[in-house]
Amino acid sequence: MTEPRFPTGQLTAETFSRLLSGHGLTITPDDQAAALAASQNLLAQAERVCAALQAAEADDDAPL
Amino acid sequence: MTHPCDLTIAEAGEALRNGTLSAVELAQAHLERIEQRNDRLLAFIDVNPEAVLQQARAADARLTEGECDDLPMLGIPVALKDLFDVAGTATTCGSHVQAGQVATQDAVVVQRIQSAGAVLLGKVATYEFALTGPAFDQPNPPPRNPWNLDHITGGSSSGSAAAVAGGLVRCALGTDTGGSVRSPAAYCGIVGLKPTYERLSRQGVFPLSDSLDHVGPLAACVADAALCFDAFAELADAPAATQWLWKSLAGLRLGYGRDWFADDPAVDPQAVTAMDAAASQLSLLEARIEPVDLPDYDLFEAVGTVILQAEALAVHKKALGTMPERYGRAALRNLITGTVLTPEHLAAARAMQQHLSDEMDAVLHRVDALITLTTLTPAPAFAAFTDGQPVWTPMRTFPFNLTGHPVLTVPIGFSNGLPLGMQIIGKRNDEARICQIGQAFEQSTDHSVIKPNL
Repeated sequence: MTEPRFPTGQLTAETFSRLLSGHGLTITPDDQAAALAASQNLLAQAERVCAALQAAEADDDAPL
Repeated sequence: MTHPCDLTIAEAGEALRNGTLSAVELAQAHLERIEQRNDRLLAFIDVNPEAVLQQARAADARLTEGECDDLPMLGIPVALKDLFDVAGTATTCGSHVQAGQVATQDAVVVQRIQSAGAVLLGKVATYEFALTGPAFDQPNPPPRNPWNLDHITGGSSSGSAAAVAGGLVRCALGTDTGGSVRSPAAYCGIVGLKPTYERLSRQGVFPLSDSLDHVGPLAACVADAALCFDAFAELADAPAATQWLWKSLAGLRLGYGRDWFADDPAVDPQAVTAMDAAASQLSLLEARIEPVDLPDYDLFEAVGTVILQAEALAVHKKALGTMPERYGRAALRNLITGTVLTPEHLAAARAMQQHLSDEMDAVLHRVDALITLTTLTPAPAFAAFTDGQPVWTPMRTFPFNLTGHPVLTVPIGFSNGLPLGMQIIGKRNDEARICQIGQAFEQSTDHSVIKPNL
């Protein structure tokens, strides 16, 4: 894993740009700007998935 | 007398076998329909009439030899979304990225079509790489909804839906990663079958997301969809999809997933009314309708989106790095969002996929099938897409790409002249049951009888 994790809300335009470069992608500023909100939403969904998994695992571990 | 293009596959097959219609005559009728209507619908992007007629002549020869008893698709025209490899022709995937990419081998499904003796009419349009649309910076303009040409077909199997709803072909194969067979089928007032995961081969079909991609037929009626599925599917220890057609629904227990849409602010009130009426109709057919609590829909969507975006980026990363300018803007902007995901995110999503699949299996264990809306609204107008930003088209299809359960969507009525659809969800490899339910419903209503005025 080469990319750091970013808590929801900390995905700034600069961070997104660095992530794209880290993947070897050269994307125009217009396209980066247009994709930023969707990327933030995707990150929020990913964080929600992680939280749901933790909750599910905690349920599985709970004493009967 | 019914126009040959409007015969069901079973009716056309019977006419071919008893000699009142030849495969060449049937193919010519479809080529004429395409000639008459495709300029408005923009469904077909590649038709080679001589190649079509050559296949039809071969089918006629097999029919003459009596080689038809076990081949219900012999001589029947079908169409393919332009993600399927057909040797010697380009698989464009609706993208400038694929310019000049001529397939060297047939997809497995294409081999099945040939073995069944079906006649491949041609390729139909797709949203770019089955990803997002409609868009106007791709090699082909987006197809038009036959019910109202100012409205989208939905996607990504856009050409498949327009071709079937427009009467150009009875069955077209599409792909469904988050609803791309079912939502355009619902938007265009036709039947769409997303089978159990991997029942129709994905080999030779350009991937979007390996974990979620399904191949499935869009068809003019349930029986047509079932016949196509049976003819082209991989073997499984399960009854044929056509096996229980025309059987009574008496005693079947259907779980109604109403909570997934009824209180959603985005839902069209007429869609709620139509779906409740469909449930009542199934009750009149002696099925027992039971409210069910389904797992959290939003969580399904979050899990599915993470997996889809991570896997799609992996497919496209090389081309995005070397020729980003060839992608349509909407597709590129969608794909690059996947760069924010980490391997931990994907691992969590895969674990939740299993968890949610187990939950859905538990729900389906208590009933014979589930029903719920396909899309929460009818097809939006093209005008909604003009500023280049994605437009949210709410649907309830994604969960079953994650779980792999088979789903059939059938027409249930209209809102402002545009069709609406109901999903019927079955247990794994239970295509026969959902086709039985869908056909019984279809036969008891006139939703599938009404055709667009073209």
